Order: sequence, then structure tokens, then C-alpha cells
Amino acid sequence: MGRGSLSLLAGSAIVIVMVLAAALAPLLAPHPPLAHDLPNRLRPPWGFAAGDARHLLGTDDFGRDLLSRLLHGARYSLLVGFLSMGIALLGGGVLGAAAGFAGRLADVVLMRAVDVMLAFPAILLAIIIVALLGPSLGHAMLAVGVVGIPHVARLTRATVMAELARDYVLAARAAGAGAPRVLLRGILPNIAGPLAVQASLTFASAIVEAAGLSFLGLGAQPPLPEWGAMLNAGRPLLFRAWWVITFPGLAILLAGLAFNLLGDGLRDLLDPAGRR
Amino acid sequence: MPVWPALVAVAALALLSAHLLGVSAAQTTPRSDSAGAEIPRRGGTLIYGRGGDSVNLDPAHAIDGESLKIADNVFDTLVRYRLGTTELEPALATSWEVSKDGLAYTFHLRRGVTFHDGTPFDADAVIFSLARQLDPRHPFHKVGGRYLYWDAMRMADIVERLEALDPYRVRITLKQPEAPFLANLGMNFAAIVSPAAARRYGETFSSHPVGTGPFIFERWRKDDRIELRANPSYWEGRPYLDRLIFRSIPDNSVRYLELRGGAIHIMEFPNPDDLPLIERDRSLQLLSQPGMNVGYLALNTRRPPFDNPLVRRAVNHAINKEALVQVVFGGRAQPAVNPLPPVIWGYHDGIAAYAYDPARARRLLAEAGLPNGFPAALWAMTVPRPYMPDGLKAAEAIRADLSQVGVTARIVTYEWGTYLAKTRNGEHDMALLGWTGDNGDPDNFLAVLFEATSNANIAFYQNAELQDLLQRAKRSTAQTVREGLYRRAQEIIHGDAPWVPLAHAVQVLPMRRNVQGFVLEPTGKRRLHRTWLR
Amino acid sequence: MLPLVLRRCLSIVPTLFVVSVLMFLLARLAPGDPAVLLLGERATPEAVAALRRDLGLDDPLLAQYGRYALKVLRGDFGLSLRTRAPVGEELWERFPATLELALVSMLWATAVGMLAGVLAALRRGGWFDLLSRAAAVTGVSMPVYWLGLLLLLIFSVWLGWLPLSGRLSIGLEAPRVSGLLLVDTLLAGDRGAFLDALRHLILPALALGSIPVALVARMTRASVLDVLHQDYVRTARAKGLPPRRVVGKHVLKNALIAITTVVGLQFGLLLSGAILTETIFSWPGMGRWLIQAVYERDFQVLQCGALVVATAFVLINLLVDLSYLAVDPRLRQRS
Repeated sequence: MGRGSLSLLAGSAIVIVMVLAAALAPLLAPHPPLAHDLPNRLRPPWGFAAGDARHLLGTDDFGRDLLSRLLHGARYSLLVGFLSMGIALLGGGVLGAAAGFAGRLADVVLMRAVDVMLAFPAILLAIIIVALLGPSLGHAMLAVGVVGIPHVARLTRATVMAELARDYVLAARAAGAGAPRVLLRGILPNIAGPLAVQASLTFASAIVEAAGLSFLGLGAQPPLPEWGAMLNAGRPLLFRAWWVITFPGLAILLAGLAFNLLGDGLRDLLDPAGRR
Repeated sequence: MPVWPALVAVAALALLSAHLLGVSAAQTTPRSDSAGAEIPRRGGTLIYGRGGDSVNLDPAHAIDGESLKIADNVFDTLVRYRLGTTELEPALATSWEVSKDGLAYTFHLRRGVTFHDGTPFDADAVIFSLARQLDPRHPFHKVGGRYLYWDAMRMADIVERLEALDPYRVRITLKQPEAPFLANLGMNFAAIVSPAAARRYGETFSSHPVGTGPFIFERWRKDDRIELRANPSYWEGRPYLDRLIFRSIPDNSVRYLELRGGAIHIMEFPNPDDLPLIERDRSLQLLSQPGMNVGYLALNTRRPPFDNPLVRRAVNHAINKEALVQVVFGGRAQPAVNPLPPVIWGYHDGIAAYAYDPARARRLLAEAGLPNGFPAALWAMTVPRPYMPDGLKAAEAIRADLSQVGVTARIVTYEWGTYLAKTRNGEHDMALLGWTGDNGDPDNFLAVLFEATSNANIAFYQNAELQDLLQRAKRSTAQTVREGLYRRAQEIIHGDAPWVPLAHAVQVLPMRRNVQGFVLEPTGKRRLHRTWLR
Repeated sequence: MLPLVLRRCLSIVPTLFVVSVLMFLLARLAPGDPAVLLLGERATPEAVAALRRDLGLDDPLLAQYGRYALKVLRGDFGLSLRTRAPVGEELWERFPATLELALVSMLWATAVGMLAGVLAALRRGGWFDLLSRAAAVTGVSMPVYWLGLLLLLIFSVWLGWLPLSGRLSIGLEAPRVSGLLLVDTLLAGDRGAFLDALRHLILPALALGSIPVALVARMTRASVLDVLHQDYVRTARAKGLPPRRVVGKHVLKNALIAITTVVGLQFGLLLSGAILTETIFSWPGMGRWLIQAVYERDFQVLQCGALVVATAFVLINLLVDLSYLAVDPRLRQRS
């Protein structure tokens, strides 16, 4: 059993657990995620002094159960990762494929546009998108997705171009297959591997980046239990209640880790020679 | 491979919790508290830690708190607030007379005072400092952009004319009697600047301030620190400190760690939840003072159902201010009864607050024909303000309270500039906002916030009797008369309930135990000329 | 080669033009009036109107852009709306701080990342490979705020080895030459100040380099593995060349291209200023300046910042491309 399959196993195991946690959050969560309970505010995790078995991970400053919030938060974080990845992949994929395919002029124009996007300070772009549309989780998702587009576009273009030069493509074109047909039948299956890897890595960074935006107050708005927003809310409590900032941080770390492992594992699986 | 994250997790937990133990262990160094009169020691450098940097060091252009703190120490005004109060006392003017009609103010200037650049302080300097703001044809009127505070205080509507009667006498003539005028002159925008320096530096005077104050500006490293040194020939005597440094440390937790470690002497804006730790720490002290501010929930009286006073009173009864003060302010605030904070003269202490009473709120709603409550938008600001450290948190607490009486509030937020603009347009049902006083005059609260023509009146509250009272109070110069008028005004406001007055934030300032002689001020000024290090 | 360089340099111009127009429009489209933001609660309608007139915000957009572009071509970035200071000067105060931090972060990240990547590739599947890859994945996934605070708590609060905030201790000064404190203190011959500046740099650089180091390690490992499988390397090995020489001579040189690409891209990103890192470590750099400008809608600062960051990014990538040519002469023919 190679290292790749170990990463794959570990990564997918954590991902499955997280997906299950998100799906079953209403059943698993011991408390409603938004219910205030001021007498029980800032209760430490179970096992610490003044801890309470009814609040395994403790409570925040409104007395809300952290475990329940984290479980519900998994829904938002996974959704953010998924949709941001979708935007980046779709936008970047279309741009990149078009550039790789559609001839010299289109290539130059599209890649120049991608260069501009890359040169534009990414975090500023994200912040301005959110400033334009107003702070909300959806807009943060959009911003993170848009920022990811140029990277995916470059990768797709490079892969498409490499494939285009291959014999089977040349043969298909010589046989009169139209561009869309070649793209769908010939190339897509061949570049699906690298794209899948890119997808899981984009997923990972999207979760961390969206959490970063929430952390700046530009993403999810309270009382939504998104992990980045929870981390942000826990910031002033660092010395008073370490658990309020530690557990959301761990959750983000774990999610990023899981999808990174998944991506690495996929890469090794699809490319046994370990090329890249 | 998944061993690694687990390791990190455990390490993080262990580190953080051990850190907490470290905090409690560090609190056991007892030191006796010296009370009696000690002779202040000269010398030393005081480092003042704050969250942000200054914006503009020209006192007439500065409008943000971080810039005004520098102006507090580099410049003087004609009259000033006695340290720790809002009472006026002589400063660069040793005395003044007001004409019978309340229109002409004659100031006698202090002699022998020099600016930091060695030029003398005289009537010309006073005229220069104020005329550049008043007179559109003054050569320096456009230098450095608009005079923001002058505009905001509508000084152009108040002042008619400035004259130098002789090198040490200045007369200011008003357009109409204006009771708060003298108090306005104690504000930073009316500080006296060195005309020679203003001419020499031109547009860059805003980063090379030259005044007559106790400290001399030395250098400004943007976003890092501003360094001042003692003015050896200060007219009131050399300050005790040799140097005064303002450092920007944006993260609250890091700033607290710096204070604990002793790298800074004073820190601003502690996290409310860190205050108990600071109080237990024997190497630190916590100064606190009731603030001259109010945080409130404005109810838009133009929009149903808030056009009905019964509904507004119901909302007042529904909100638990005590709990709000605990959660949002960490207990460091007084639940508000009136729009005026109790530290200001004219405060009406005979008004009984609307008690927290959800049952009564529901009854009032039923009486108003809304037994099942109603939905409404609750606007909250996303930026911390001096009168409300966390608007969203306050909104969450209020939302939970309102849901108890059947009012379903939807929290609405906008970017700060948009928020201000939209609330002034009246697009909200209920909106959180607040006010910090400038000069200690009740007019600076009640007229600003409730005059029918004031755009800060975001409850859009109109009451003819109140308008008349506020105008009369502005024109009268007899304080006892004014006091009576303002008390009546507060009764009217309480009855009509255009707001839920929420809280008056207490200002707290943690500092090292060896910082002596520092006094908190209701105006929020940070004057350190009497401060010394033990 | 020279015409190529020239052509690439010229192609920067349209990119920068588009970036400047984009930033100009985005900043003005974003809701929030800088005049209202400056005045805050004290924004009376008259004061706002006067301020807007004064700042030139009421002019038609095209006129505003034209005025701005003409000034920029003369090297004048205008006045900050908020501070009224020339934006060029404001930038000049902050850029070196960011540059120094980015350089040091990139330097250690590249060195450590390459070393770890090569070692991991050579002993593929061994414990070092596992550990370094796990560390890399963790580094990429760690919320920066969290990492920064942990570093501060460990190294500054408990161990007391390193300072908590700032660039230089109070009382120390370095006459400004480059703005990079490490350089300026050395030029001044002030060993104490040099060490002090270095001590202030360590933790922020550690935090900022945590993502690049992981990416460089990952990329190095992959490309070293890639090269190791190439025929000529196999031949060299079969001929009995010692592994160390194989790696040094053939593998690293060929892996360098891929690594340079990552380094160039990452360095460009670091230059836009790491907002969170600069905030936690009280670093007076571009990131804090720019985010403040976003919050306050300081258009002038935003426009200047976007141009500077874009220029830096494009230039770095130009350098990267040119270094390809230096590393691999074959590419010279192709282009």
C-alpha cells in the first residue's frame, strides 16, 4: 500500500465524517445552534473545571453550545468550499479550454485577461467584491471563487494544449471531428485527473480563504455558525475562554487538511509514476 | 500521516490552557498600593499603546480620536476643560469678558508663551488659527482640505468676525447668542497653531505639528509610532515625562500581552472579557470613568408600527439592558435611562426607566392592536464604536429579547459609510447608533440628536414643544435657566420614547501600576502633562 | 534575447492600464461615500457636500480618471483622501516594510522548502517524507491568525525570546537608506539595531512563510521525482554516479524551473501585503494600509496600491520567465 492510498484513505475518511456531520447536524447536535443561554455563558469544555458534560466543547459568550454550532457550521463551510470550487473550476475551466482551443487571437486576449486577474491583488479583489455586494456568506463564496479562476484557467489551458499536441487528438481532428467533439470525447477524460486534483486543492483553500474573509467580518454574518465567523467572534475571548477560538480553528484546519490529503492522494493514484 | 494534525491540536490546546495558568500564576506578586501624596518623579519615557494610527496631526483638520490624542499633547486652546472634567478654565487666554447681548467675547492672552519653533504666541496666532477656518478668502483656507470639525460644528453659522484688538487681546463676535460657544473653543479644532510653522510646512503641516503644548512633536513612523518629547519651556511648567510615544498595535490581544510584559505602559481598548484578568494582575491598574456618550436603538417614528408611542414603549419594556450591558460591554457600562449621560450637567435623575418587563410589553402591543407582534428590520453597525464595542452582538441580544414579546427582528448590516447614509435617509425600522459628546454641553447631545432639522435625528422624531425648548436653551446664557429647559426636554423625550436608550459605555484604560498622575477625562482627551512614572 | 525582454516589458503596459481602470471603477462602484466615512456620526449634509466638492468626487467619472491618469504618468499619485498626504510618500513609508518581510519569508521558505522537498523525494515513502508532507499540508490549512497567535504565545510570552510587535525597539533608529531595516542598520554599522530588527522579523516571517514553504516543498518533491524518472538520470545512476552528484548536477537544475514558478507567484502574492500577518504582528506594511483604504474608501490609496502590486507581480514574473532562459537555453530557441 503506497503513501498515496494512505493520504487518499485518511483524506476521504475525514471528508466522509464531515459530510455526515453536516448532513446529520440537526440530529447529532445536542443543542440548537442559535439558542442563547446566558446563565451558561463561557462554560469550558467537559473535563475542565466548571465544565459540563452537556456541553462537550463548552459554550460561547451567549451560552450557545460550541459542538452544536460546529456541527451546523460544517454545512456552511462545506457549502462554501463546494460552491467556490465550482465557480473557480467552471469559470477557469471554460476560460482555459477556450484559450487552449480557439486559436491564437482568442488565446492572447483571454490569457491577457487572466494575467490582469492574477496581477490584481487577490485579497483586494475579494474584499472589493464583497464591499460591492455587501458582506454575506454567499458573496464571500463568490469572491473566493472568482479569485480562484485565473489559476484554474492557466492549468486548464496548459493541459489542453499539451493534449492537443498528442497523436490521438491530431488523428481525431484529421478524421474530421469538430472541436467540441474532440474536447468532450478526447480531451476531457484525459484532463479530468489533473482537474480533480485541482478541484480538491481548490476546495481546501476555498474553505480556509472564506474563513479568512469571515474573519475580517466580510463573510458570514452572526449568528450564522460558519467556522471563520466563529473564529472571529472568539478572538476577543482568547485569554478568557480559549475554547471559543480553538475549536473553530481546529475545524478549519481539519477540513483544509482533509481535502489537501484527498487531493494529494488522488494525484498519486491517477499518476502512479509520481510525476506531478 | 493523520498523526500530525492531532499533535498540533493537542499542542495548541495544551499551550493555550497552560498559558492561562501562567496568567493566574503571575498574579501573586503583591505590592502595596501607595495612596498618599507622593512627589512626582521627573524623567522616563511613557509608551502608550493604541489600536490605530493617527490620520492628520493638524488639530483643525483632525476629526478621528487617534489624531486628537496627539493634538491634546502638542497644542493648547484659549480655554480648556479642567483636567478630568468639562468645566472650563483659562489656558492660552488668562481671562475673558462676554458683552451683555452675549455676542462679543473678548479674550486676554497669556504673555511670554512661545511655540515649539521659538516664535511668540500672540493675537496674530489666534486670528490665524481661527480665520483660516472661518474665512473662505484666507490664504490658508484651502490648505490641507476642508476643516472637518469646524464644518461639523457649524461654526460658520455661529462666528461673525475675528479681531485682534492689540497683541494680547482678541475679540470674537457671534452672529447670534450661542450658549455652548465658549465650550466649543476648548475643543481641539480651536487649538492655536504656529503661523510661522504653518506657512513653512504648507500642506505638510499635517505631519509637522507645531503648537505651544507640553510636548514637542519629534517624528512619525506611519502605522508604527509617533514620538513626542517634553517641552522644557512649557508655560505651565515642564511635564514630568521626558518622552511620550504613541505606538500602534492593532490586535487587542497582542496589545494586552505587550502591557502585561511591560513593553507599553498604557493600553487602549482592552477586550471586555480581559478586564477581570487585568484587575487581578497586581502589576497593572485599571482606570475607569463614566463615559460622556450614549448608545441607543432609534425607532423610526415615520414608519408603522413605530409611529405609535405604545409600540415604542413596548419595545422599551422588552429589552433587558442589564443583560445587554453584561454581554456586550462586559459589565462596563451604565444602562441608560435618558439620552443625556449622567456625567453632563442638566441630567434628569428623577425619570424612572422603562423596566424590563416582557409581560407588560406584550400588553402594550395588544393595546396597540398588535397582540401577535410584528416583523421588523433591526439595523446594526459592523464597526466598533466608543459607545458600542460590538454592534452585531448588541443586535443579537436585542433580537433575542424582542422575540420574547412576538417581535421578529431581522438583523440588517451595511458597510459603515452606507449605514450612516441610509439611516440618515430613514430606510430602517430600528437602528443602533450612538453619540460621543464633544464639549460637555447638553446642547451637544439633545440638539444634535433631536432637533427636527438635524440629520442625526434618525428616529425622525418631531415634537414642537421640544423644538422650542431646545432653541430657547441654546440662546440663553444663564445656566440655571438652561438646566430647567433641558430637564423638561428629557421628560418629553422619555414620554414619547423615540429611542430605547441602551447604555453609557464606561471608559476604561488599563495601565502599568507605576503610571501615576494620569486622569481620565469625560471628553475622551488624553493629556499626559501631569503624568509621571514611579 | 534583448528584443524578447523588450517585448515582454512593453506588454506590461496594457496590463497595468487595465488594472488601473478596473481599480478606479471598482473603488467607485463600491457602496460607501469617503466623505461620510471621514465625518462619521458628525456628517451633516452641508459638511458632506462641501467635502465631496473639495475632494473632487462630484466630477464626472471620465474627468476624474483623466485627471488621475495624467498625474500618474507624471509620477504623481495624488493625495490620500483620508490623510491628505501624498500617496507616493505614504507608499514609500510602507512598501519597504512589506518588501523586507516578504523577502525574508520567501528566502527561508524557499531554502527550507527545497531542502525538505529534495530529501523527501530521495527517501520517498520514508518517515521524513511522511512527516514533511504532513507538515506541509498542515501549514497550508492552518488559519493564519491562529498560527500567528500561537507563535506569539510560545516564543514571546513563555520563552520570552522574541518581541511581540513592531519592527524595531523604541530608542533604536536606523538612518533611512533603503527602508529595509536589515540593510540600513548594517550600513550604519549598528550591530545591536541589526540584531533587534532581525529578532522582530523572525515570527512574522515564520507565519508568512508557512504557506509558501509548503508549496515549495510540494513542488520540489514532485519535480525531483519527475526528473529522477527521466532516462538520462537513470543512465547517470546506472553508470554508477554517486546519488548526491546526480541530484546536484542533473536533478536540481531541472527541477529549478518549476520551483522558480511557484516562488515567483507566491512572492507576488506576499507583496500585496499579508493583512492578517501584519495586523497580528503590528507590522507597518502595505497590507494594513490597503485594507484601511478599503474600509475608508480611500480611492487614491487603492488605485496606487493596486498599480504597485500589479507592477511588482508582473515584474517578478518577468524575472522568473527570464530566469528560465538562463536555466534552460533550449527555451531560448522556442521563444
